[in-house]
Amino acid sequence: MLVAAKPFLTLTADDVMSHEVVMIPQELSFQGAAHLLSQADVSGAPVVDVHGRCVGVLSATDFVHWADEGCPRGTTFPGTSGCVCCEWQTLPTENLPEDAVSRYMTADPVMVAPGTTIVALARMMLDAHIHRIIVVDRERRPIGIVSSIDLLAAMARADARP
Amino acid sequence: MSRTLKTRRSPRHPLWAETAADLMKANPISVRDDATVREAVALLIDKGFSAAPVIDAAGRPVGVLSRSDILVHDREKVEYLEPAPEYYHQGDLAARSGERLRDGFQVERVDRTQVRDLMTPAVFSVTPEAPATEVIEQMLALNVHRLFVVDRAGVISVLDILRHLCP
Repeated sequence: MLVAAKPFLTLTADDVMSHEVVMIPQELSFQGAAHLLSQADVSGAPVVDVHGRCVGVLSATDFVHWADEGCPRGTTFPGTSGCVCCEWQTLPTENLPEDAVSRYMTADPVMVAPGTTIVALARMMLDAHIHRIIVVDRERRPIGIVSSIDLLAAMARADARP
Repeated sequence: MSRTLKTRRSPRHPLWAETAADLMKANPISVRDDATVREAVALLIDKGFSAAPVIDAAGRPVGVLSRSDILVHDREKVEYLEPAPEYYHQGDLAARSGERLRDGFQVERVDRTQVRDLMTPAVFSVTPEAPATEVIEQMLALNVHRLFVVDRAGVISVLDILRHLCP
């Protein structure tokens, strides 16, 4: 694999990112977005405008904020005894708001170019206390996602090399 | 910079750490397993922590409690007594001490649920002497973002490892 042949410190976002990106249209409802994330089995995804440009990110943290501040008292989530916010599948989506996801997303997400080095990615995650960075092209269209686990996996691959 | 780059058995990627003890955060803020939900809320929500190790009376780690666990429990369990009908005079709602409920206030049932009832009762751990490479492999294999360090009262998160990635 080409990636394994590169010295670890020269790896870039393009080398370690997931290329399959689930994207949420900004006009989609919060309820619809939760369903989309659930179906895709991912905990977060970029929110895009009509031109496909990244305008935000929706993650489990946004659900926490909604539940903490906007969720009506007494709203129940039957059958959610574990870490519900890591698993959109466990959410009964009928309890979620139907207004646009752009109201609940985190705007101004951390985005990088594909050539960003692995050390710079790690520094951004530490500074922003995040586990996911969106990789975009020149038009700010998402082309990949790098997670903190992706960086650990790259370390492990570097160690496993003969 | 006073730190020295520690050499590792397989120095494919330079870390400012050699073992789990080097990577860990010592004496992490923890919560007792017999603490109430209210105490846990004070710790996690008010202080902005996303999760905390849970320890027993002897100080041994017995699980992890996340902010998500508390939020979900809060939405599931918090109950209020029925609001007093409007025809009650506020004077009827006064406590024996004479204190009265202000407008909009409700009586809430006290939640006596303990942390041990909400936590994830799994403790994944490594020894302080475990090589940094083994810590990374364990996290990937177990698909967790946090490992306990036994006998040292420490915790290693994914971000702790990234923090030790040298520039």
